Amino acid sequence: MIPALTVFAYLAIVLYIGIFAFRRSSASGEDFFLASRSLGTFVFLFSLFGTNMTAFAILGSSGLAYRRGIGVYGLMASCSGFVIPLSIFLIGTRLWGHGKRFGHMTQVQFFRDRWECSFIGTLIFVLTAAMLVPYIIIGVMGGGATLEALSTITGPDGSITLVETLRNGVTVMEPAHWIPYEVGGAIVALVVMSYVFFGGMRGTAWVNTFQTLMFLSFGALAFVLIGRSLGGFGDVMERLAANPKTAGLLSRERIPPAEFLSYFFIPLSAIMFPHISIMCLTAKRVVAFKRTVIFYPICILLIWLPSVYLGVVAADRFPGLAPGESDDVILRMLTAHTDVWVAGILGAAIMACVMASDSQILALGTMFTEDIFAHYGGKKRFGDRAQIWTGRLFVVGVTLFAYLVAIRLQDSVGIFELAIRFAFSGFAALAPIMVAALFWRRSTKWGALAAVVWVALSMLAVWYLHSATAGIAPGPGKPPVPIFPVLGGFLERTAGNVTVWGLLPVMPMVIVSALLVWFVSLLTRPPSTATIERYFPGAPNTR
Amino acid sequence: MPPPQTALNWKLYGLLWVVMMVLRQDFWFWTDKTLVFGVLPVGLAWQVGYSILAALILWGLVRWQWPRELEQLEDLAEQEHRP
Repeated sequence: MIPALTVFAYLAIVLYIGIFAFRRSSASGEDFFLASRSLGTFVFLFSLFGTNMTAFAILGSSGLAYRRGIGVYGLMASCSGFVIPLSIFLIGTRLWGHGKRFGHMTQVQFFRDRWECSFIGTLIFVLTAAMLVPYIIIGVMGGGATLEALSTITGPDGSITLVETLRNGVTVMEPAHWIPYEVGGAIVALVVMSYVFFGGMRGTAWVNTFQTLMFLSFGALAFVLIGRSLGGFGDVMERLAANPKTAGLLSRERIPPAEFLSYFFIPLSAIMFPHISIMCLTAKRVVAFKRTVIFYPICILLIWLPSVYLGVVAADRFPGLAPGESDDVILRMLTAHTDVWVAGILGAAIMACVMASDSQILALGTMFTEDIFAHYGGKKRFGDRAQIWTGRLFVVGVTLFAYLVAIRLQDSVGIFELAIRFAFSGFAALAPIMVAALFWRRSTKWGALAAVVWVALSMLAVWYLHSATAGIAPGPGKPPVPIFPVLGGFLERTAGNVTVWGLLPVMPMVIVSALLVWFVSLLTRPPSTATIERYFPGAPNTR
Repeated sequence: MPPPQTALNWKLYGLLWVVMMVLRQDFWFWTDKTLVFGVLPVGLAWQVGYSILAALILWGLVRWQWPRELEQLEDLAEQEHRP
């Protein structure tokens, strides 16, 4: 029960931060949605990093490392540590500049203005919202599941108390919990909704900063304590290397090179996520980006290295866990090797990552009020105050919707996880549109439109192929199966993915998207000279 | 009048992209299970070094490729928004 109480104390603190931010707020839309573009370097760095750090960075990465080894760090973390800050450096700073100058509050506003086209903005809004909603649902699901797991009832001897539960008409024995999934999900949804509702961007940024600092400090402490409890990691590594079943975890042999290569393109998605691009508009001064860009890879290193390493160590401590069970190896390590209070605080920190949906809810609210409500005349008719309340009501509506879906489809978590995986590819494939809008004066709305349609269709196609080939999917570690044997290795099904010549779909999606923007733009009329001069002042005319 | 936009050094960024993609792929350690200092698998140690290199490269970009016109834009935007 102590871990659950620690989590409650944590939830109370973040709620208070949200209310404190509310007291500092003014009644303007820019203040609620962008904290009046006033974030300093420190809050900007940690809130931007925290916003991008989801439950997967901790729970998922260690679970994956348990199964696939140390390569998981290179697969996801090292490329993120280069590509994300590079995109913040190249794209985030320019977005910030345009936002500061022209008053944009979302990326959709920028696209509409840049290409003199309302429709392209609406289309990008719809696609973005469709890709973001599964994230919010997973956040609520993760909150309910984590709170439930942390409140497992144990007997005096430490054994887990079991109760009879009816599942699909069959009575099964399951662990008893102080806080059931439904209640845990409701508590998390209510807390997140409250501090986003009251605190807006300022509250969300402060909470994210608090969460990131908490995880960085207590995560390091937990790593040291686990190491001490094990008497150092050297013996564990020797045992893993000596065991033929686990030796492969110490190298990258469980990750195909083509899959590893494809992952380099996934972090391009970060800057296209609305919560990240909107966050880029909140900096007070452009110099706030400098430290964020430099320290981002180090923050990634500090979070991911212990998570991946402990995931591999867990293969020695808790051998033979099934894929579903291995997702909580980090919690098992904490419970087995640290004090109950440390485990509780780390549980709260993990909760912080699970609750990363706060900025996504706010971003969706900002986009709805700015790109739909205000754009289609709502702000002019009803004023600034009505706009903020529209944003707040949208936050309530989205959270409620996410909660109801999370409760109703509790057993369908896999569908939403899959949707998120596809969303990463989709957002990454939208990145060429942003690059074209910011750096290529000759780019046109038709080029952008072609790329957006391509992204939507390719995601649907991959989804269809993934579902349709579930029956022929090989087991983990088994060779891929051709989807259409006549096409050879062009389209194959692996245990978890559909591949194109062995590559994940994200890589061809990004390349084709870039080619479409380029080719279709050259065939169509560019925006007016006035618009180009606004966005490219003083640049030579190359129309 | 806003300051002119700095032209991006596309060759530099293209080269960086390719070099970093190749360095990350480190096929030379793909199946190597050697432990560095007895605790860190060499493949993981390489990727840790890669993260540190990324931080250094980004520091260099901030130092030498920083879009200075944005700092001037900052002042301009403040003047434009001033009542």
